[in-house]
Amino acid sequence: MIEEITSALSLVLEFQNILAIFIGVAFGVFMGAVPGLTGTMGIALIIPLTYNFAPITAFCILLGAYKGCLFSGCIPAILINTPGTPAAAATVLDGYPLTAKGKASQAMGMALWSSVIGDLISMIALIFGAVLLAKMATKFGPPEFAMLVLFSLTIVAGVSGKSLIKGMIAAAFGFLFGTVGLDPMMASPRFTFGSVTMMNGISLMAMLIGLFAVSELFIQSEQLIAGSKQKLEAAKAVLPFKKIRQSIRTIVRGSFIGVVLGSIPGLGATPAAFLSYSEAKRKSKTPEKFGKGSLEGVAAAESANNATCGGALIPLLALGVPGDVTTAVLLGAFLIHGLAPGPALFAENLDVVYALFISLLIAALMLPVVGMIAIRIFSQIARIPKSVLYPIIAILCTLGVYGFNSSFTDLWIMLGFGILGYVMRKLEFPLAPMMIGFVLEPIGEISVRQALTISSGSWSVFVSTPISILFFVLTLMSAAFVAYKSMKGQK
Amino acid sequence: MLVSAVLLVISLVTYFLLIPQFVQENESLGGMSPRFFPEIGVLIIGFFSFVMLMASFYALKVQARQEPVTIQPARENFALKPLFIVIVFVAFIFSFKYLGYTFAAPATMAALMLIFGQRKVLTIVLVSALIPALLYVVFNYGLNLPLE
Repeated sequence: MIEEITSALSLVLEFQNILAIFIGVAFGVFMGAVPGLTGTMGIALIIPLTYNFAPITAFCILLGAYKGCLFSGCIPAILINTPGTPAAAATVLDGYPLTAKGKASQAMGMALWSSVIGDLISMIALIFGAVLLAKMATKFGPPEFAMLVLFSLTIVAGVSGKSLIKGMIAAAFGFLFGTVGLDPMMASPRFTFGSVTMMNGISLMAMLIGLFAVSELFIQSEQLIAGSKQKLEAAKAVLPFKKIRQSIRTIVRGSFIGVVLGSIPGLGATPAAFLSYSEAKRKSKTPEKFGKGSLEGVAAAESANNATCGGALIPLLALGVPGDVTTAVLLGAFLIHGLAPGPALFAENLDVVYALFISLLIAALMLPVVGMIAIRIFSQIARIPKSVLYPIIAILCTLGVYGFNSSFTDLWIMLGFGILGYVMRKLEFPLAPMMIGFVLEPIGEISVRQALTISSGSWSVFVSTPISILFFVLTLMSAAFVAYKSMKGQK
Repeated sequence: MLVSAVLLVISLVTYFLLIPQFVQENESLGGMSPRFFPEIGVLIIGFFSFVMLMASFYALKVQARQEPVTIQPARENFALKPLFIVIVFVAFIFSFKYLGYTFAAPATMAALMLIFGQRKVLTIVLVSALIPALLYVVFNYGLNLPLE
C-alpha cells in the first residue's frame, strides 16, 4: 500500500499537475458562478483541451473543475439571489437575506468554509469508505428509491416558510411541472401541446433562473432608485472562527447527508442540499431565523452540496456507475484517457486510484484560496449601480439559459417562470418547494413505476426490504413531527 | 380567498380538461397510467386550495366579528414596472431569434437600463455596447457556445 501511495505522490506532485488542478478549480468556480453555466458544461468544455495532456494531468484539471463548480454556485445565490447551479437554490433561502442585511461577507465566509469542511469530509469518506458505500448504494433498487424520494418530499415542510399549505401547493405545482414531456415508461406525451421541444420536458435551468433571477428583476424594478447600489459591504468571506464552531454540528450533519445522498446514483446535489437545510432547521435552536438570514441555513445547504462530490465519486470509481450527469461526463473523460473505473481499477491500478484521491485532496485544499479570490472578484458587482447591474444580470441569465440547450423555447419557459415566480412572491408562496417537487418528480415517478412493473402491480414491494421499510418509517415519523409542530403552532 | 378560489379552478380545469386531453391513457406493465402522477399533483393542489379557501372563509368570519372587512386592491400589490420588463424580455426573445444577438442584446440592455432608472446617455451607450460585446466574446470564443 505504501508503495502505491509513494508512486501516486510522485505522479501527482509535479508542477504541471498542481497547475492543472488550480486551473481546473478556477475554471469550475467561474462556470458555477455564472448563472446558467453548469459544471457539466464546464467539464464537457474542458475535455477536448485535455486530449494532448498526460492522463494524470487531464484527471487533475477535470476533478479540479468538478470541485470548483460545486462550490461557486453559492456566490451569485448569496449576492444577487440567483443560484449559479441548481443545488445552490437552497443557499438562496438564507444567503440573500443575509446580503440584504449587509452580512454578505459572513454569508460568503460560511458558504466557503462549510463547503471546504463538507468537501474534506466527503474526501475522507471516499478514501476510506468507497467500496463499502458503493456496496450500500447498489442495494438501492426502484422500491428503495421510491421510498427515499417519498421521505425527501418531507423537506417541503422545512422550506415552506410561514405557510405549510402554500408550500404544499407550490411543491405540487413543481411536481406537476415535472411530469411535462414524455412519460418515462411508455413515452406517451404529457402536456406537450403538440410541441416537439416540450417532449424533453421543462428545462431545469430555465425554471431555476426564471423562478429566482427573473422574478428578482421584477421585484427590484419596483424599488427603483437610480444609481443606488446594493446594501452590501465588500464581501471578503470573513467569518470569525466562533461562528463556524457554532455551526459545526450542522456542517458535519450536512456533510454526511451529502456523502450518503451523493453516493446513491440518480439523486444529485439538489435534494441533498434541501434535505440538509430541512434537517438543520428541524434540529436548530432558532428555527425561526431560517429563511430570514440564518448562517446555519447557509452552512447546511453548502456543506451537503459540496459533500456530494466525494459521495458521487464513490459509485463512479468503485463500480463505474455515474451518480449524476456531471459524473457521467467525467466517466466519459476518464474512458477517453484510458481509465476504466470499476472494481478492477482498485485491484489493478491502485496507484492511479491514490493519485486521484491525492489530486482531489489538493483541489479541496486549493478551494479556500481560489474561493476567496473568486468571492473578491465577484463581490465587486456590489459596486455597480443597480440600474446597470440588473440589466447585465438579465442579459447574462438569458444567455446562460439559451447557451444550455441553444433553445428559444427555454427562453420562453424562463420568462414564464419569471412571471410565475413574481406572482408567487407577491402572494407569499415559497419558491423552494416548487423546485423540490420538480427535481424529485422524475426520480420518484420512474422508481415507483419500475418497482410496480417488477412486482406486477403489487404495492407491497415498497415495504419489502429493510431499506425501504426504514425510509417508510422515517417518512411517517417526519410527517407526524410536522403535524405535531403545526398543531402546536396553532395553539 | 381569491387566490385559493383561482387555484381550485385551475386544479379542476387541469383534472377534468387538460389531463384527459393532453395526457394519453396508456397503461404500462405495472398497471400505472401516465396520468397517475399528474393527477396526484393536481389532487394535492385542489385539496390544499380547498383547505386554504375554507381557512380564509373562517378568517373572514372571525375578522367580520371584530372589525369591518377591507380588501386590499390588487394595484397596491402589483406595480407596473415589471410589466415593462416583461415586454422588453418578449421583444428581446423575438429580436434575438429573428434579428440576431448583435442587434437584440444592445437594444435590450439600453431599454432595461432606462427602465431601471439610468438616465446618463454616455453610460447607457457605453454599457449597452461593451457588455453585450464582452458576453459575445466569452460565449462564442471562450465557451464555444454560438449566440447566432
